[in-house]
Amino acid sequence: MVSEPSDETLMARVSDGDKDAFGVLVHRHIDALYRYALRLTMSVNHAEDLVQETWLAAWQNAKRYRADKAGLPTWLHRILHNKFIDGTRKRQPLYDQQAVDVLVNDGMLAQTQSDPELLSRLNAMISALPEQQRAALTLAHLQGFSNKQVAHILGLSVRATESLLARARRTLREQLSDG
Amino acid sequence: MKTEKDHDPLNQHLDGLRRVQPLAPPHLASRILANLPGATVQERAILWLTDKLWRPAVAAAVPLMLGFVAGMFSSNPNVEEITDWYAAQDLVYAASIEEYDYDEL
Repeated sequence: MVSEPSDETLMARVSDGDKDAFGVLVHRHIDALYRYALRLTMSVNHAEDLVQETWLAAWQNAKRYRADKAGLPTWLHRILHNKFIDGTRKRQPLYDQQAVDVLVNDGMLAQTQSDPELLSRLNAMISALPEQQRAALTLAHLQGFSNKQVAHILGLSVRATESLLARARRTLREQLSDG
Repeated sequence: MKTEKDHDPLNQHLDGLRRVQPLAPPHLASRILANLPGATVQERAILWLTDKLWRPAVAAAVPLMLGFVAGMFSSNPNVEEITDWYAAQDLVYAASIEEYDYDEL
């Protein structure tokens, strides 16, 4: 059985201008980036634009990627987060109901035992968190990054990141217990 | 071995949420690849065609539609030309009858 090439191998090819290798990486990581972009922007259109800008930046800066410094998912999420801070923040914040619908309905509900209504509420609560708390919580609990990786993505210290996470979790617990 | 964290209801709810996350829309990857700097016209055309299911069908139907249109224009005869042609036919026929020996008829 032929195993798929690693992210590092593909990025080495991408830095030589290999578009096929880049296409493989896009398909491999696009879902995770899209989900994060959706949670950051709370807008389907902005999320798509943000993901596109991220991949364009990844293509243009492929030679600068260092596998020993950060895994590719971490690097890509950092680019996306920085693009969000640089560009999307300047736009008028738009609460897009479609984004919430996508987050709630487009997941694979059949595969979980959890209460859909509760998950819907939780989605809404996360969407209402302050931006940095929402970003930290999403990266740590929904995207599966470690606290150290989250700190790297957000450009913060590990301590500051843990503080953000603690505040976000406290807010969610309070809202869940208010019920 | 389960830790206290594993029994935390919030963690369980967040784990549940993690399992129901949406996928990127199908057209997004194509859009990204088609808009890379240096993408050739052929690459963009192929990516555009394959982005949606209906596009190849429409592209295949275009020559058929062009054929219909071309056929419609070519089947529209000039009535005066036809009338002249029939008149010429009559003359030829009349001339051919004159040439006959009535005994042959």
